[in-house]
Amino acid sequence: MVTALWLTACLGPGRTLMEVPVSMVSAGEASWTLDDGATIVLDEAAVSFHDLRLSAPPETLAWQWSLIPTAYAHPGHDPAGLTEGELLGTFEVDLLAGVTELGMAQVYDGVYATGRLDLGPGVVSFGGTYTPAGGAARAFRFEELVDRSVTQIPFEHTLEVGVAGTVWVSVDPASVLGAIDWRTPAAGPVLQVSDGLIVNTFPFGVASTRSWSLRWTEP
Amino acid sequence: MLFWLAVAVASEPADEVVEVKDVGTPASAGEVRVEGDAIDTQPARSADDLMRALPGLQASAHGGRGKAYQYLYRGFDAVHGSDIAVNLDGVPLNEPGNVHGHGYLDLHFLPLRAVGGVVLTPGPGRADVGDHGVAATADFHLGVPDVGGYVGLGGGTDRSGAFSLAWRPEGGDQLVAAEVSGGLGAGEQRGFRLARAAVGGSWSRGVVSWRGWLVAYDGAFQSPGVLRADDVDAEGFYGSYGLPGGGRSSRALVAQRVTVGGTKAQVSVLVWGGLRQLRLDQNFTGWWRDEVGGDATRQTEQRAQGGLRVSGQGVVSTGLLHARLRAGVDLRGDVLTQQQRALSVDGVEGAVSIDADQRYTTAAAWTDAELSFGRWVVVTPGLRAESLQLGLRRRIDDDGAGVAAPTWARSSAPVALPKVGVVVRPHEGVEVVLGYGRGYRSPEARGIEDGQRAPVSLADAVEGGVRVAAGPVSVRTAGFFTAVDNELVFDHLAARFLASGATRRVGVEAGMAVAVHPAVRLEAAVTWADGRYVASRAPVPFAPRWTGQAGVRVDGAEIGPVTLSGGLSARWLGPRPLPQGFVSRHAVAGALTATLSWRSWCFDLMLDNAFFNRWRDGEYVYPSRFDLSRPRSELPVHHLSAGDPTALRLMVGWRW
Repeated sequence: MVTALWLTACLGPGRTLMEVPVSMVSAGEASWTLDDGATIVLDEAAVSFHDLRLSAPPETLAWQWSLIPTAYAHPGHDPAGLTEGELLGTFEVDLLAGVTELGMAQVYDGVYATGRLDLGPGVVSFGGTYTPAGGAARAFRFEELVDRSVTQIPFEHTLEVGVAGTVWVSVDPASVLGAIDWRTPAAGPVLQVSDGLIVNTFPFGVASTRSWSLRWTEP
Repeated sequence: MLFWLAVAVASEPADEVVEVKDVGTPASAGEVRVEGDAIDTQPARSADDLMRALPGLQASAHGGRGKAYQYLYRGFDAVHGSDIAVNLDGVPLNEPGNVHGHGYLDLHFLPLRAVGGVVLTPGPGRADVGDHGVAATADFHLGVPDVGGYVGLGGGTDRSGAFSLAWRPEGGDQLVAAEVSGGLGAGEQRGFRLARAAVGGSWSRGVVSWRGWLVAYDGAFQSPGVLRADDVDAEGFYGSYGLPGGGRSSRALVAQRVTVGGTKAQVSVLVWGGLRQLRLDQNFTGWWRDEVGGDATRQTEQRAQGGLRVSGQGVVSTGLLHARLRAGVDLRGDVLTQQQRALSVDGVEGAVSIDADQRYTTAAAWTDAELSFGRWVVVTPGLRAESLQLGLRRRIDDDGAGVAAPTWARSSAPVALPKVGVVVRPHEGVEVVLGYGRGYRSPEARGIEDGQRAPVSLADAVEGGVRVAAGPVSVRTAGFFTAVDNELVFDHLAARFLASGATRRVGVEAGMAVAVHPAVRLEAAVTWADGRYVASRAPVPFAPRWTGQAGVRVDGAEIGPVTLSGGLSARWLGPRPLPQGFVSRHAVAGALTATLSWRSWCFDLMLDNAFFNRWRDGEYVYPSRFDLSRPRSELPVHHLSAGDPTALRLMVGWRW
């Protein structure tokens, strides 16, 4: 009887901590054409960030934590966040170098909704040429220490035990530079963040959730 | 009441004082009584441990030998007592609004040798029980089971020593009991020292009797806290991170009861009061929130409380109907002041996060009856009407800034708690017990708004069961269903209540006892309880779904010149649902106790963790950081509080 109870008592397997590879790649090409016919060609695209974290749907966890009766400074009775997957470390990635393997993340099996990462501590730098339709090419180089978090990156996927795959982190250069006002006059031969309004838009483009994406692929 | 008083004064004196405590018919099919010498058959170091005699109840000790246990029962996570009402001879022991947990229930103050018995009743089926009587009720009775004196001295392999004395005169229920114990404990950071004493007196003349008692306690204790599961190899299963943990607890309770009456009717007046002081230090996350000062907190509380119960009971017999009627009025008031501060690793107090005064007042009128229709049917209707008054005076606001002129916020709520039970005895030794009861859990005063109706949680419970006693075999089984209208939790970060929805608990339990010898009994019980939120179907975290108990009890076996009482107990906890879909492991725990009496000598032997296994008393999942050389991770990880280490303790006593 004890054995039967033992077997039937199972609530399910619980959660399994797994390791999954995380790689990074640019979400776009090194050159693209804007709506007005201008073209941008990158010869430099590097980002620095640290600590990628993957989270379960917040409404699910908020609900689950609310089930717990009140106690203070009590083990396990203190809501402690949404993170269920994590790749800790600092990463400096050359987006033009193709695929960069970031390492192995620790993740629990289960439903995920979003991811987040912290930019820095290094700089983000994008450089290349901007060529307006029918005009002359202008060189640009944006380099900035962006001390911001990129949050709520969609990652709607269920990670299952025994299913191999890779978490891909991507940055879309067109989105990073999407808010730049290319008509800004430059003080020198190369357009830089110090040249005007673009100093405001470049960090926002880098830290914009829309510039980043997370996806899961299986071999 | 006045009628009963008149009848009581005119009635014949009783042969013995009849306690106006219970109506003699089980309020639940799962009711358990541990009384007299049977206490020796329970592996108990303090009164808290006797709660484990209730099948299905998990009492988790994650805070050292001095902090209230965490109670899990029938799908409830009662935390430190929010859903289990405990009384000592009619005096409520729960501490509503306690700085560490609502309804805090610390029974370490009660000398084990002053416990004459305990009645453990599942469900909210009692009219004389109010707040916190949701999942179960426990009634402790103060008394020294054995006549005469006792003095004992002992020690154990857990590096502990103890001195104990007890006395009760022949033919009286006066008592003196005292215990002093202390030690380093088995494992790290498990030291403790405590002194607790109880004295009681009684007097009787004609139809008037008086009983009074005083219980006093002071204890200091360390707590090993928790270990990350991935640190067990490095720190040792009974290891500790050496962070602040433990505290100091003091309590004094005094009660006086005057009873007028005899066998036909009684009126009694119980007046009680108490003082309480508590300090708890803890750090269950290391340096996760504050990598400089650490995450430790110090909670302190001082409380004064008092109450009055005026009750009466009378017996009426008319032909087939035998009625025993009770009614009473209860008043209770608590005033307390509490603080919570950050605490550095060096023990320096820091920022204050809680600083408040509270008032908690209840006024209740209740009545119940035991209506016996012949030998076969007993109906036990009851009703309790209670008014709850809460007061809160905060000295800091939500941002931690001081409030220039603190004012009292007041909130109140009325509750009506109907009960009814039916016991059918279709055959000798067979009882069918059916019951319905409504209980309630008050909200914490810390979350009230001035003028707001206090949001109480109501629990409606039905239970049906059968108790069969046939010769040496007794069997009992019960099914139960409890619906809580709205689980209210207090978000201490936002300082407001969260209504997290309705819950329901459903389950069955079965138990069996076989007397293989007049003094030897085999027992086994198993409970299945499923607690879930109605809307989401999510399980109530921490409450075990399956529990099992088995044991051998020896009660007064004569072996030549030696008398033996004791027991071997085994408890099994099935996997417990944890937050975020995690699940704990199974746990099996055993304990052995034996009391050998030879002439005037008495040898009490207790073996904690009789199975020599490393069982996890508590399991929790959350992120922590106990190693500053490692990066701060937000991943939830398993933590555990270790079950009792194996330790053998012996006390040698002498009776006179």
